[in-house]
Amino acid sequence: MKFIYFLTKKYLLSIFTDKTLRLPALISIISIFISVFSLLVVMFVMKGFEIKVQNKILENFPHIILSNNAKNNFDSIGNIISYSNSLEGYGAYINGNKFELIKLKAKANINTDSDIDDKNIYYGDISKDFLLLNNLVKNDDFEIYIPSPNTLKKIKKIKIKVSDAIDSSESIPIIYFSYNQAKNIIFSKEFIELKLHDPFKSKETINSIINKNNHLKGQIVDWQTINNNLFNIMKLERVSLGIFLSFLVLIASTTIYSNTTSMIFQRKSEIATLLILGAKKNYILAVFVLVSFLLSFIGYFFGVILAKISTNLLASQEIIDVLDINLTFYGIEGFPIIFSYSYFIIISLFTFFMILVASFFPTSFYLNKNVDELIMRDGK
Amino acid sequence: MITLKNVTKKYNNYDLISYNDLIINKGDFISIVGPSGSGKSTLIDLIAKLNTCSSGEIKIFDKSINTYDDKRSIQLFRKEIGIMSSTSSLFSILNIRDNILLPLIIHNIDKCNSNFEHIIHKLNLKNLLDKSSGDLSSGERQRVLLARAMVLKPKILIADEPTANLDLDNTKQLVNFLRYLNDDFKTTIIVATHDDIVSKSSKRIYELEK
Repeated sequence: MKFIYFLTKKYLLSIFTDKTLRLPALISIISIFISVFSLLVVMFVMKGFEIKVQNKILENFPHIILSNNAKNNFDSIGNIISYSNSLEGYGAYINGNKFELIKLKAKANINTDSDIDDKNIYYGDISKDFLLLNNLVKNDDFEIYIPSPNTLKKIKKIKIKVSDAIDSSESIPIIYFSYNQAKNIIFSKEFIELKLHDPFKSKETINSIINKNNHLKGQIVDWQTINNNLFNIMKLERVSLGIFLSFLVLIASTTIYSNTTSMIFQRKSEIATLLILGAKKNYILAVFVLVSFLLSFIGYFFGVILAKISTNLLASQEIIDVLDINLTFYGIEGFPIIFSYSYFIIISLFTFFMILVASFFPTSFYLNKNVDELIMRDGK
Repeated sequence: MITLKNVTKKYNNYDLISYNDLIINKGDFISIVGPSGSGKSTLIDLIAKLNTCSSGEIKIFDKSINTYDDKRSIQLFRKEIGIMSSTSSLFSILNIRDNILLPLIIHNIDKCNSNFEHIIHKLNLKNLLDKSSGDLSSGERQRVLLARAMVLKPKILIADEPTANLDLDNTKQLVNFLRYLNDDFKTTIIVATHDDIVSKSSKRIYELEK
């Protein structure tokens, strides 16, 4: 082991002083650095985006929806925080020649009924973006058209007063009403919304509910099932980008391969001398693999450090303000980037594997195939 | 200690070198001489197990050279035989001290149990220890190679043209050291050489013809 440590240290240091080896070594280091950095940052952004969208969904939408609003027994199902009856429908806002579809929804925690002095005015919490686009502020009123199955025209106009502006991750504007008001303007079937302590245990909670309320089978759905397609698309996007960016590591590995090959070729006579002096082939192999690996590790190390610094910088709200980037489109706050330990470990293991392969094969090939020729004379 | 019996070496399937039978005893100092192309270096390589013979048998320490094939025995073989071959080189990444100590590091032997101090003194290398191999003259380089070959106290020293490119003073210094090793340490020495000073200093001469 002393031999491996001794020669590895000497060869590693010599690379930085040897002009012919310095440039290829720097190219290897930089290529590994760039590929690891890019792969980490892109995957952290993808993960950050997924987590932020997921959190937004969990914040704004029910975790479980029951299409049956009959009396149900949710007692002693521990994971449930609250449940409430709800309604959902659609209306249209027409402003000049502009037509906009609006989602109408009853929300349990809105209770503006006591403030209502005019029964023809409906109070709603409305998406900020919609208010901004239409120059509306709190207490302004405007008219929307809603379906009216009981009237002759089958459509009617109602007046909405802005009671509050809210953030929304919905793709279309939304107006939340109190349940009592919503009953007068939304004619769809009532349903029950449940909020959970741990939304990630929604499947288990559904099973518990069905065990107690067998009639609900087939009428209950959780947030994961509803958003399954969205999460699958995000996963597909993440995997595709991950595979695509892995090619950067592959390309970087080819520079390590050629660098190791040229280093071994240059040290050919020294390898022969080591064998003549009695060094074990495995030890010589270990020396050259370690030299290449440690050299590449420098690139990997700086790639990880820069990725971590970039992640922290981008995650801080200040950098978004400084750069004046508008990220409100997805209804998420801050730059969508999260340092993911699982991605860090996967990318690190993949990079180490590729570096080891690129370092091991040229060395092993050379020592196993050419060693006898190396140690012997070519002619008489 | 070393025996050669009916040894031949073929190159390219037609160019054949045949060697007369040879017995080298413990404490021998033998010079292998002959014109260029007569097979001096080939014979040195065959005895040092840097090449394989086409037919015949070479025995070293009363065992066929082919028995030193597994990892452990080849390492012991290399430890017992100091080789100063033209295929050996000095490491440019190491200073002279580390170059000489390299066999000790390879075989994981403590410096105290080696010939290091004694050889450095005898070969007058003390002032060169911190130098790089690129800073050495031919004579100094040959002395360093000899010091490295002898640092493990091998029983046999095999040297291929040790005095090539050396001036008279350096040649005499090197030959004196070989004689010293042979006389005082009873090291068996086998030298392939063109140099009369070396061959005249040896106890026996093994002459090859083309």
